[in-house]
Amino acid sequence: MLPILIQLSDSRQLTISKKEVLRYLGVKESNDQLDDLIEKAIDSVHSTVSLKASYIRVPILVEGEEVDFGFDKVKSQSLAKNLKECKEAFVFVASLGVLNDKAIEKNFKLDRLNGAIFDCVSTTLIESFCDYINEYFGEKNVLRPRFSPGYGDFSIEHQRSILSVLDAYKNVGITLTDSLMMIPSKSVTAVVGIL
Amino acid sequence: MSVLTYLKNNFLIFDGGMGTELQKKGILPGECSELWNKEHPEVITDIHKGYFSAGANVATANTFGANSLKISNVEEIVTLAINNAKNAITKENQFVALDIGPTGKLLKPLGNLEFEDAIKIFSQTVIAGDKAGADLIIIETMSDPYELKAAVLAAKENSKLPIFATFVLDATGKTLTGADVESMVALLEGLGVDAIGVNCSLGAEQLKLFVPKIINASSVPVIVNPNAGMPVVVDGKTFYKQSPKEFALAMGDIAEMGARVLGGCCGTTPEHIKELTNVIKTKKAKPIEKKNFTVVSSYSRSCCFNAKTVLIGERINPTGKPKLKEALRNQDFDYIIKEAIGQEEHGANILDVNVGLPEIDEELTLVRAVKEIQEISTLPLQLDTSNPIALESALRVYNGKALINSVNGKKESMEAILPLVEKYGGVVVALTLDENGIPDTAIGRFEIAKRIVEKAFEYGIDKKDIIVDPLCLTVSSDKNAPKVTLESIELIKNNLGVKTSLGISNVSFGLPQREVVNSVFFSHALQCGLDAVIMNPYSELMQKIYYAHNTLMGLDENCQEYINFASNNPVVDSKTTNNSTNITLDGAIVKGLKNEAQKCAETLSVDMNPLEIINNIIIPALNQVGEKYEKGQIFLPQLLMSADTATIAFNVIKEKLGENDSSQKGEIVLATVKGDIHDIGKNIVKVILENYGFKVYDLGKDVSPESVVECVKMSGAKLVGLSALMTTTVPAMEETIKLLKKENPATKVMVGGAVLTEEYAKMIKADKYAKDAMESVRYAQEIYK
Ligand SMILES: [Zn+2]
Repeated sequence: MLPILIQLSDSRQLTISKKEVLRYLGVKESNDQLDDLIEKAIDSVHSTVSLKASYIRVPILVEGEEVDFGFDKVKSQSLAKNLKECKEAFVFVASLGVLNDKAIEKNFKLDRLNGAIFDCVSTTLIESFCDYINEYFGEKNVLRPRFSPGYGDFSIEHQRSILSVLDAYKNVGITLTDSLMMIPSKSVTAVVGIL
Repeated sequence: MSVLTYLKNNFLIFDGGMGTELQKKGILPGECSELWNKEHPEVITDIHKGYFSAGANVATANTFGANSLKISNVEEIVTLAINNAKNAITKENQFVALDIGPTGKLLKPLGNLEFEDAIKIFSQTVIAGDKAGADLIIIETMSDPYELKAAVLAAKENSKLPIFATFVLDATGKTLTGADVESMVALLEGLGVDAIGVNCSLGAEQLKLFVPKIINASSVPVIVNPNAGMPVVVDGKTFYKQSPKEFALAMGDIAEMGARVLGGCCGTTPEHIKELTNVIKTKKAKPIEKKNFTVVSSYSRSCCFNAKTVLIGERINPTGKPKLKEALRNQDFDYIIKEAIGQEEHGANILDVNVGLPEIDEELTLVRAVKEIQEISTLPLQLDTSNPIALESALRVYNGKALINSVNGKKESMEAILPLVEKYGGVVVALTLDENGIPDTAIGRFEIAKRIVEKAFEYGIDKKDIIVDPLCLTVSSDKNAPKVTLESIELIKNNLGVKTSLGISNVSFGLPQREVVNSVFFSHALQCGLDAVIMNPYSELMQKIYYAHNTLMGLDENCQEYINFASNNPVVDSKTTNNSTNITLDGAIVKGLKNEAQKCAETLSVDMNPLEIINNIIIPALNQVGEKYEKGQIFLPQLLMSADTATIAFNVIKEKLGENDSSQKGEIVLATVKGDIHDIGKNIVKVILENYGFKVYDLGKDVSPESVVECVKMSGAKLVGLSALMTTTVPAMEETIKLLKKENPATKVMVGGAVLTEEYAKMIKADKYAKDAMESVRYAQEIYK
């Protein structure tokens, strides 16, 4: 079972919703000045990213609170509920790449506000890339909403086995620190049940 | 015949994948394939035999992951692996390569493996492979140029075997760190690698697109070892696995483009290699052309010295810059990083880094400066020092092929600097001075340049890796000095065939309105064909001249760069700008208007007491903003906007306060706990605390409990702020609090971060849970009442 790579060379085809950015920023009402800064950040984020993902499609077995993925068994009530009616699932990891991390830090060093905005724009973009992958999966399948380690009681520990089965270092350039943080920071692992 | 001799006139065929073959022989997923060298030596030898009989010249020993991070008995396994491969040899021109793959850990600053530790890990493998009798070393599947450099240095320092190196490209033709082919070739050629290329990640059909780029950049044989076309979806289009025939067909095209070392990676089998051999039989190996590009690089981009003059930013050099001097003395690297980013934003192509001050340790400081700048900026650097020890250490850790400033015609200088250029690679700036000083004629300077070029050749350093700086003396002490310099540029360029570089600013020393003199001299030097200039990127006049010159000389397609430059730097009409200064300082802070705040602060500080400005204007304005934020009337962005604006006002006023700064409200130590590598939240808290007059000791991210305690003791801080972003790092926070309470029971600890709650904070015995930056200010004010 080999992981399959997904690459998207132009991130401009993904939408970055200003509303989402504002939500991540914790802002309920925007103003012209802020809108302007967000638009500039959206415009500049594209040159800092390299969109890559790796996925596999695996048979799964859901029994009670346990989900067996073959490469790992996960004990989680919330995940088992999400995947209850599924016999198969996609497991994927997606990332914006390390240069985006550097760009966030750079923006922050130059100007805190722009740094914070750039950070939130990047978060919005990785979510949008995940949506793109979901759509790709959904072309021929009916899917459950995606579910990531760290949601509910789906322990973040499982990131280790997911990254390993997806050969995430070689395919996407992601490594895990001892405290289970993904580098680059704008990376997402997730499971998508197939109905 | 040695492998390099064989390669001179022939294609060299590498084998295909090891993993796929081992799977056929029954290795289980997750099983360590290197251990099969010991448990099933005959299986390994059989696989090598299969490839040799398919026509391969090189057996890649089964040592890809044989490093001390993955296995304990490196020497034993490597020795067995080399022997297993050697046992498969049946005839002449079959070679065994020691295989070195990535450690699987990212190096700092991307990850947490130290550069020198990576070198140690690779060295162990190299020593074992060399001893066991490998014919060459292949370093492969590298996606981080820094790790690749560590592996090459390990190979060079522990063996004399030929070094082949291949890296991984993604579908856009870049490495993991965004490096293009040109920068990878610059790095590897600089390090003296014998053959350069790409492997894995893409199939032959896709890799084919990038092969001409590698061949056009490289002066050594090019390697192409693609995979068998792993399934990949690029921009919604799916590419499938290639059959041996399809693979060989694409490889034939690649051979015709000029690649000389051909083989396979993941998924390729003896069948692929057999077809490849058949296709190659009908082709003739193309001679390898020497290229003449002068290129420096960083981990992410290259800078080529060609028609357009390269701008080298001069701002990171303490000479005549009291603020930078102070920053260096205080080891304030944030200041240096800001200078780096600022110059990058102003169009610098390369940054000069000089940290020489008599009272600091230049070696340590230069190394740290290089690391800190490279953590943020992607520009190539010019390492500027007269201290060979500092230079070597900096060259070692530098991520890319550096510009080295400098060597000169003195025997002592050439003998100290040129061996370093040979070992680490780089382009070196040669100053036209020697034991007798600087000649006052162009011909005299030319002679010295020629001597340096010849001496460098003895060290194997090519002319393309030398840039001559004919030096520029001040016009006020010698009226002919600039003319001689300009003549030297032309003479050296035309007759020695090397590139030239020049520091401009010296020419105007001692004169009023220096920028005017500098700029006109710059314009003349451009006209003489100067290839690189060390200048102040903030000088608007020089920028204008530069862009206009490029446009006039036909170097700017459709005048696009000039138009962009002009529209980003509109002419300001001084009559209209002075009208809008009706705003007060507190108003500017509340509204977040930076320029206005700066002007107001400057005006006020002329005749108002600085402390009064802080206490009666800035702090109340910040309080007003803080209250609005707490009430939910404004949000984090507006808070930050005001905070940044207040910082600008502070900086104006602090200059007035000078030494006797009595505005400090108290000391606070801030840190993101061990294991946590994101610190933007903490940085926001820092700026707000500083706005309120607290002295913040910022320890950064991934900070050990011991370092926090040490800093508390050193600074006498009564308050510590800790941040954690992940549930997995909260235990490290707890540990830090525990140690603090043991060593310094009086210290108060406030905690914050995405995963924390009031309840959680209590559980780990923190004194305060601060839900946001404003709450941490309120608590700090309480502590330092
Ligand atoms: Zn491979």
